[in-house]
Amino acid sequence: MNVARKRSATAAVIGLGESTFSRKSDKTARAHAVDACLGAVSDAGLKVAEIDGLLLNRSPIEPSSVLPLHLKRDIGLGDLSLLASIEAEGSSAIQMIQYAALAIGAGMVEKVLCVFADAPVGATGAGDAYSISMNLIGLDGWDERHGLIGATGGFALSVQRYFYLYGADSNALFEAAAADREWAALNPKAFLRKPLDKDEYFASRWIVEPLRLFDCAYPVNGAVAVIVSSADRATDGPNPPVYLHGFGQGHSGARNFAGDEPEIQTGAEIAGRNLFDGLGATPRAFDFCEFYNPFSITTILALEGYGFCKPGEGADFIADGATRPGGKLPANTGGGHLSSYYLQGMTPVHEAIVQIRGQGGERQAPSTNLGLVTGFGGRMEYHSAMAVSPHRDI
Amino acid sequence: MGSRLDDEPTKDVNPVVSEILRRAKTGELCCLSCAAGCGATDYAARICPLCGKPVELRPVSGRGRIHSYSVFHAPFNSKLPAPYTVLLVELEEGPRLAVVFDGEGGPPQKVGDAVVFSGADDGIVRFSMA
Ligand SMILES: [Zn+2]
Repeated sequence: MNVARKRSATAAVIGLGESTFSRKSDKTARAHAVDACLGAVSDAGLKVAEIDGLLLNRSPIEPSSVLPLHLKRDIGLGDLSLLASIEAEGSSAIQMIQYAALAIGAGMVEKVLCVFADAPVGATGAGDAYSISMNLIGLDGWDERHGLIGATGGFALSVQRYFYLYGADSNALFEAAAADREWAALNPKAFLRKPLDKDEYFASRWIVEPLRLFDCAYPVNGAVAVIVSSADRATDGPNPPVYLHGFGQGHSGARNFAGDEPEIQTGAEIAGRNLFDGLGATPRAFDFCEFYNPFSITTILALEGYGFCKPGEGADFIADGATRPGGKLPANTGGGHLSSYYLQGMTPVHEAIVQIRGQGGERQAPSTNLGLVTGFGGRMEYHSAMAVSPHRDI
Repeated sequence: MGSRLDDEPTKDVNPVVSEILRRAKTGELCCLSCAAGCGATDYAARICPLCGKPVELRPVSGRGRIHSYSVFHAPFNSKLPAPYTVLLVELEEGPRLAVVFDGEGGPPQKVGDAVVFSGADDGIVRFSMA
């Protein structure tokens, strides 16, 4: 750790709960959420009655009825001092934790349950759930009319732009996907654990060229919940606290206009600056990273956007082993969105908590004094980051 | 999504989109531009980001360059049999627009290539190599 400004955390994650993660459509998001919430309460050694705040986050492509405020009744919660649904797409998970920490710091509330739940996998897979417009151009109906469909369509434009700017090719994407798979092999809960062979990668079908099947997240049905507490009360429970040392949001104002590069500006450059400035830290302060990485290109863009390497060098950074098991900057240590499971912002949050607690088993990173966790949504229009540590004082 | 893809724009289509498509069908591509004269804005703008005045449709030259592109290998609607290529075109006036590449089977498109508006007969704006 190399943090210029000494600081003491005021809040920590003290509970982590998850539902079963499934590729079968046998349960609603709401039912998964109840399982995860009750799991988190139990994990924290609390009673349901001790929870006085609830923050919800559903998939941006689902209606509010999928995860309504009524979830508080499903869990049997009593009177609450904080309740809201956070809607900032993939950056919401970290934002929930940030708002919980801020509310606790302000004396508004003591124990906040934060939950994300989704059930995109239907009888015919998850493809239908994601075949919607992201409205990249900003004219209602325009994207659909012109066949620009799905997040994959949007991120394919990012990849092609990245290839052009830096002279990269599909080998860069393969390296990112293969690195995540190496971590997944060490994670018994990851869904895709077989090493990713280069021939197999290149033979996999196009989803939207230049993105292949193995460049894309592996969706599951399920939920993850965490409980945020004041740091003063964080050691009361059975598990080691995950101290929250800083947050940064960054929502890019880049437009689809000459001079802007929204294809590769992830918002990391803004969120990272806000986070690092608050900590008095540089990227070198971090021992490991859990990136929001629904597509292989996004780990490359994150490494570059947060300043772990120079623009255009992300793929070489991965190929050289820096982020892989045994590397100097372990990243996506559970296998990330591509190889472990895709539950939007909660996938990286969950894995960061496991690592800080030292519960990673075979995949435990050797040093976890300070970890970076990220989330983003839209085609990288909404971005959040946080710094986590097993130490209250850094 | 069928009703939104009719040849003739219908009332349920965003009026700005309807007007862009109506004029495109006559051979005139438009972009959004500041009514007070600041110049072109991106297609998502509802006011001029420079002065806050309303934006209006103004004709563009129809010339541009490929900013990025992607190739769809599965069909999403009946008018676009797969594979088809979506171009993100940067118009020479500045805005970027998603259009369909009119030239499948020809020389492969590349980022940076010059392209030109080639028509919108079926309610889909297409560009071809310049
Ligand atoms: Zn103006």
